Amino acid sequence: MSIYPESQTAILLVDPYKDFLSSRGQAWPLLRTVAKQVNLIENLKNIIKTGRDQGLPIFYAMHLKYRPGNYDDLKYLSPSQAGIKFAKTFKADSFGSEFHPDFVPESEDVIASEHACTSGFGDTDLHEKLQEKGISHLIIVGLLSNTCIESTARSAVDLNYHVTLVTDAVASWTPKDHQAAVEFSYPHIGHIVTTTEKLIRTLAQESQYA
Amino acid sequence: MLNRILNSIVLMIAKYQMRKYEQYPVISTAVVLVNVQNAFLTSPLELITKLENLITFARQHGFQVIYAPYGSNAENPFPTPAQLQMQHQLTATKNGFDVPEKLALQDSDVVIQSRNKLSAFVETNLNSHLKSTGIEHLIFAGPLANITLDSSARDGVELGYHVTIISDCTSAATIQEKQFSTQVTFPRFVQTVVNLSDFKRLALITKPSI
Repeated sequence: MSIYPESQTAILLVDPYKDFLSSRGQAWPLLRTVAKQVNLIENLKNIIKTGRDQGLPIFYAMHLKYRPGNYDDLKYLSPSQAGIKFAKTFKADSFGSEFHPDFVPESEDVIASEHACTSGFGDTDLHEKLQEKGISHLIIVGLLSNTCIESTARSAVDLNYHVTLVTDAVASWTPKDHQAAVEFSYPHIGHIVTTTEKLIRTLAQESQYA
Repeated sequence: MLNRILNSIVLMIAKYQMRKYEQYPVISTAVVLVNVQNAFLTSPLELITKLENLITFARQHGFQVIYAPYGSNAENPFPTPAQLQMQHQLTATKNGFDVPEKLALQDSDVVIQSRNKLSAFVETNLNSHLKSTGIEHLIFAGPLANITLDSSARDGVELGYHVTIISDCTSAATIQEKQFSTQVTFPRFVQTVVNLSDFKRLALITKPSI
């Protein structure tokens, strides 16, 4: 029996900005330890490539770009919002808020409106855009393991999606942050928790029998 | 090493910025008890004592006390391991759905709609109730740190509240899970994580005029 129903399964890539993934990106020095440990960029590339080869739609959930005054109407900033405001992370019209060259959307990909907190579904059109394409199964990858990825996964579960999480296609600030997510949260809140290698094998096998 | 230092600095900056929110005016603060039900409080008894302490303090101080129970007959198309486990506990525990006697409701307390979602905000009247009563500060407590407490607190932040989690008024399946939630992941996405005695101190020094 197939896990990922054809034309109902999508890959959701969260926050592949240069500020996170490029060696000159602002947050890369904070992220590189875990990103290198799990081989993040190679794994993401392989998942996206396999997704494209198998005809899976690719969705992007991108964080709100920094613009002056962005957070002025928020009375209580979250810790990450305060950090982004302080450091001007993902600054609009600058290097940091460009897509990492390996993850530039192609014409048939879908880019949801930007999220201002941690969930890709928070006050965005992501759910609507997924529904328009009839998506029920999500493979959620990108950044960061225990903030945006986990928040997006938790929202997805509560919106009745089937959620796959890939432990080496996500990364976070410290090994402990990463471990908190992949070891102590994902197995409870994800429907499938897997690795890049296994996921790619499953997707390839499914298309073979389809 | 560098990674650790950089991350400690960033966390300290965020924490410093969150300080100014840590005021708990009586009229705009509510204690939200997520999954405080027999099914999820079979052990350890220590948690019931802590919750009793928090609830008694909240009522005496004049904070709203809100119960957000889990359990409904609505179908989840894809229940997660956590949801299957919770459903099992509800049916396997005597009076599983009910609030433990020691933590019984009083007339001034509020019970919001029961749900079968991870977050207490999803498919319930929690947000509309909070908005209509002018609540801005949410104090979260309850047994399932990395399951429903986490999802509820994330949504609270997402919706613009100042969210506080009481670190010793929660638990998890293992000590390790609880520690990773309260010490690693919660401080990444909620504004305030404090223990009960520090929370009481902050509440008592809040100027009553606000």
